[in-house]
Amino acid sequence: MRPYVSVFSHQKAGNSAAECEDANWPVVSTDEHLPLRIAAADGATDAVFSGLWARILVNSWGRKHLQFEDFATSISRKARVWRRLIKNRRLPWYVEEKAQSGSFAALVAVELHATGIWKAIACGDSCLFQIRDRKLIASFPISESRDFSNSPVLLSTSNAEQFRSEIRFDSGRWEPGDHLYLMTDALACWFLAQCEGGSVPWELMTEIALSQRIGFADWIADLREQNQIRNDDCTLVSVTLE
Amino acid sequence: MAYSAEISRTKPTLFVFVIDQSGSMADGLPDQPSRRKADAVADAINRLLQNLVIRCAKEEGVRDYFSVGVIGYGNRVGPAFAGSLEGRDIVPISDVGNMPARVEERTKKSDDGAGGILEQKVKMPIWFDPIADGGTPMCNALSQAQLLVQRWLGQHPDCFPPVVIHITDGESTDGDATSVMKSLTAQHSSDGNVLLFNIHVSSDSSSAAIAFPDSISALPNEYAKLLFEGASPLTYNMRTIANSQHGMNLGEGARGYVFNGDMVLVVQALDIGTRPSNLR
Repeated sequence: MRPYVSVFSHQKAGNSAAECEDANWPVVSTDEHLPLRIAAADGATDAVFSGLWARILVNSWGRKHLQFEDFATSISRKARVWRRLIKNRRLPWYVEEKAQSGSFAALVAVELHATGIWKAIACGDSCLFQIRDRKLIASFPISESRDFSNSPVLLSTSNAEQFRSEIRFDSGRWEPGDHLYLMTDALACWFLAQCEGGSVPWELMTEIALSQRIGFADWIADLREQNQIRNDDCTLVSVTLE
Repeated sequence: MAYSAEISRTKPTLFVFVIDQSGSMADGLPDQPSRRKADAVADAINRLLQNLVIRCAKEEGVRDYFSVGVIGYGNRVGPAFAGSLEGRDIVPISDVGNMPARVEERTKKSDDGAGGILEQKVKMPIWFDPIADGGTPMCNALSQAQLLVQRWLGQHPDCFPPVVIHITDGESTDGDATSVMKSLTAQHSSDGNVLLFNIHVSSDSSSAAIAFPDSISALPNEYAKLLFEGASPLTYNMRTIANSQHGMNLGEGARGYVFNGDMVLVVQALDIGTRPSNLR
C-alpha cells in the first residue's frame, strides 16, 4: 500500500498567495509510506503571525514533535518557538501590541497506520472526511454545516487552558479504496452542505486530486463567484488509499 | 440578508464618530467629578481608534478594512483629527495607525494575581484631543457626517453599511436634529441602511442609565425620545456581541441608543458599534 497524498491551497480573493494563512502537511503532493501523518491548519485572520503559527503546527505534526498524549502541553512548547521567531523583529506599535495577545489556528491532524487504523486530533473547525464506497462514513470534528461559526475555539500561542478542553480525538479503520480528505473551514462547510443536499462532492475532489483537468484555484474561484463558498483561504489534503 | 457583506481591503467599510465638544463637556463625570467628560470621551475615542488599528494589523502592516472619520462640534464643526491628520475627513485605518499625533506613556494598573496591584507602562497613541468650548451645533455636525457617508457610498455601493457613532451630553442648539438623523439613516449600500448610534454621556448621577432600549416607554424626556427615535435598530451581530461579550440581554427591537451612560457603557457601546464579525 502506497498512499498518494495530494495537497492544494488557495488564498482568499483579494489577498496574495504569500498572505495565505492556511498550512498543510505534507507540503507538496507525494507518494507516501505507512505510517503516514497528514495535517491541515488555518491561521486566524484577526491575529498576527497566524500563518507562521499554522505552519509550525503542521510541520510539528508531520515531524512527530506533537503526539496524541499530552497534546496541549506539547502545543505550549511549540508556542515558545512561535514567540522566539517573532521576538527579535522590529515591529510597529500595532503589531507589537497585537502579538502580545498571541496567535491562533485551527488544526486537524491524522495518523494512518499499516494495521488499518487511523487516529485523528482536532481543535477548531478544520475537518477530516472519510469516503468509502461512495458514502461519507466519517466526519470529524464537525458533522453538520450549520455548526460552523465565526468564533471557534482555536489552538493559541498564549494559554493552553483556553483550548485544552476543546481538543477532540477520533479514530477509525481505513480500507483499500478509501479516500480521506482534510479541509479548512470554508471548504469543509461547503462540502458538508453539499452532502446534506444529496450531492456527492468527493467525486469532483477525486477528479481534482488525481488529474490535472480541473485546477483547484479555478474551481474555488468559481464557487466564490456563485456565492457557494465563503471568501476564505481554502486548503485540501487528499489521501487516496489504493 | 442585510448586514452580511464581507469587510475586506477590496470592500472596506466606514466608521464616523461625531463628538460633542461643547462647553458643558468640561463638567466632571458624575462618578468622578475631577475628570472632565471631554477628557474621558477623548480617551475612549483614542482607545477605540487604537483597537481598530490593532484589529486590522497584520505582520506586514495595517490592512485597510475600514476608513474612519472623526467630526467634532462645539465652537467649530469639522474634522477633529490632531497632528499630521489634521483637516482630513475620511482616513484609511492604515494612515490612522501610522500617523498618530503623538504617543503618550500611561500607567496601567492590573491585578498581579497575588493580592497586589501591578503597574505597567503602556503606550497610548493619541489622535483626538479633548475640547470643551461653545454651543451644541448637532444638526450641522450630523449634516457633515451625512455628506461624508454619501461620498463614501458613492464610491463603495456594496460595502457593509457605514456606522455613525454620535456622542453627546446635551441638547442641540441649532435646531431639531430629527430630520438630519432620518436623512442619514435613509442612506444605504446594497447591504443595508447606514447605522446610527446616539450615545448620551451621563451628566446626572441621580438617573439610572438605559442601554439599548427597545421602546420609548422608559425614557424620561422628549430629548431622549428624539435621540432614541433617530438611532438605528442593532443588527443581529451587534446584539450577539452585546449579549455574549457584555452580559446584556437584548432582543430584536433594541436600538443603538444609550441614555445617561457612564464611561463603561460608552466604551461598551463603541465596541458593539464597531465589531462587525465579517472581516475577511
